[in-house]
Amino acid sequence: MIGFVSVIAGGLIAGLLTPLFSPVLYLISRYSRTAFLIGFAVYCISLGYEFSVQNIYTQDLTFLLTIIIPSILMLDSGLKRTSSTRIDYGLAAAMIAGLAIGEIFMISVVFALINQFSDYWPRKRSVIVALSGISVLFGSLMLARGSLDVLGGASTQAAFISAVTVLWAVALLIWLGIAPGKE
Amino acid sequence: MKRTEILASLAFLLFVQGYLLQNVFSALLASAIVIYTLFLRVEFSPSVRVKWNSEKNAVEGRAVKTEVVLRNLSGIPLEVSILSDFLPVNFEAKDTGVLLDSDEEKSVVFEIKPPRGEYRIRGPKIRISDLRGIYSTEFLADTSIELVVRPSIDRIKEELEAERNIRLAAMYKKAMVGLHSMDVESLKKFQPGDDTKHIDWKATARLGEIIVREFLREVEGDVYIILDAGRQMRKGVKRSKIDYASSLTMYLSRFLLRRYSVGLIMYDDFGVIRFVEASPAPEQLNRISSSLTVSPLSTEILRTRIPDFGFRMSERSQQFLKKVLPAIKRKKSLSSGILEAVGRIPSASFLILISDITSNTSELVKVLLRLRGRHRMLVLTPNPILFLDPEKIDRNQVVQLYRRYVEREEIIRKMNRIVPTLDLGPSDFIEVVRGGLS
Repeated sequence: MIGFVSVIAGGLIAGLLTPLFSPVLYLISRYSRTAFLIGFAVYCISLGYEFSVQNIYTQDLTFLLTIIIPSILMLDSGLKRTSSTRIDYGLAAAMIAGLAIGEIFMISVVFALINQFSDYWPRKRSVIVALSGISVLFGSLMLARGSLDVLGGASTQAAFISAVTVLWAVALLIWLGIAPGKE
Repeated sequence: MKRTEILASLAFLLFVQGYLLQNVFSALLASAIVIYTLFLRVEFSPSVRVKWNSEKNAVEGRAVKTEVVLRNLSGIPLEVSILSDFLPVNFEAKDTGVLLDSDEEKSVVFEIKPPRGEYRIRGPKIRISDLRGIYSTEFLADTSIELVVRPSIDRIKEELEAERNIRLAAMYKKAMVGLHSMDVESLKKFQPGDDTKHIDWKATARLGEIIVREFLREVEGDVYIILDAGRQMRKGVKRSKIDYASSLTMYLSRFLLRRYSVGLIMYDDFGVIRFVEASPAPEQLNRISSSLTVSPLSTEILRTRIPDFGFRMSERSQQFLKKVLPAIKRKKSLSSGILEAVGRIPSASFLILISDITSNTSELVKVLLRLRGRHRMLVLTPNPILFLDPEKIDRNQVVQLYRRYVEREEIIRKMNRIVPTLDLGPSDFIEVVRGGLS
């Protein structure tokens, strides 16, 4: 539930229409996880059409995270079928309050993210993997700034992000000895 | 499509969208999805300990409650399901699921309905998935249970009943052959008793279930129900055969009147007593109904029960009296009575004879042989043994009943060579007969 609230709040802050359809996704998630994933795919692609970033180096990163983190939170909430706790209700209230004060929203989203994956915190490997992924991505973007931060370089930046992510994922799978098709 | 494949496809599409539409946001969102997917994958190495306990003895058709003890040995919460597809053929069970926290142990009741036999079942089959349902794995647990399933007496009775019904339905259908043409009227699902020769294999292959052809029914003439209202048919303590035969006549008339002209001939030990000419009119049912006013013979007169002296004549005496009595009572012979009534039928018809074939068998055979050439026929015969009150049967009667039963089987076998003959009980088979006609 918390993920859907954060998406709506984040959408209202960013002035986007697509997040307002998240209640439909919430209803679908109650019915079927697979149907929800397909709905989520449609949501992400339509969000990509509505919200555009031409240059990552000139974009406010906090503003970008107000859309990306709630989207991941929504994905996880839709798949994880657990009932809401008091903490969730408190965080939801904080997110609504965050409509007036942007900082409160960001703090509550980060707390929601930590709370949502609380079942994984005792397992350090997952946390390391997630942090390594984020670090590699932003570190390589910083390193390649000289060649990527150019006018009309959005496609190059998108291709660079894709390449780094794929390389990181393949390297991780090989390192951990997990075959991609094995589940 | 697996859920991981949906997420991977989404990430790919977002990367492509980011590149083609010059939008870095889409690429970042795709990266976040990839990181999320791998975040969950890294910790998915499930380990669950399974114990399966069950009582050894069971009764066929009744659910056996087995206990599956599950312990989550991995560090993350898991969704654990017990799947039923590992069970031997003809076992019935429903998949059961449970949520297990890290290091938690839970006991799950897994109900199975086994068929009779002795089994050693290895399992159960377990599906483990993460809390998000993205990654899952299945395995067959290395435990086993032993089950000895005794047959259920009720089930055996049901099976015998079903088998008998199927046999009767098949015979009934066979009796109706010739009443239908070769023109296909419609297709329908295969039902017990349908002729396997009429299976439409193309439709069966197309629809994935057995489909049979139904033919347009043609009747050359009318349908006459010939009802025996003689002494043997009117005997009975709780419910006489004539009561049952009357109900059966009404059922048959009602359903036959939808398509055919139906008439009624009723006769007793002295000859024909009622003749209702065949007509397709709806009022015909009332005419037939008002003709069925034959009362059963009662053993109670003025509410005074006639004592049972236990006097029984020998077989030879009975045979002698059968020959002599008609002469004493000046009654017409059965064969001449029926032949006289059937003689009034103007054209070739379909005759359904409802009679107790054990009384006046030789005369009945003569009649059937005479009529066989001109009319199509079906004999429905109530089995007198099924009409007896079980509480009043003593030890000596059982032997006698058995002899009568064997004798009766032989008669039915002989009768079937002449015309299709169905042996009926007091309450069953009406549905079969009705089903064949509807």
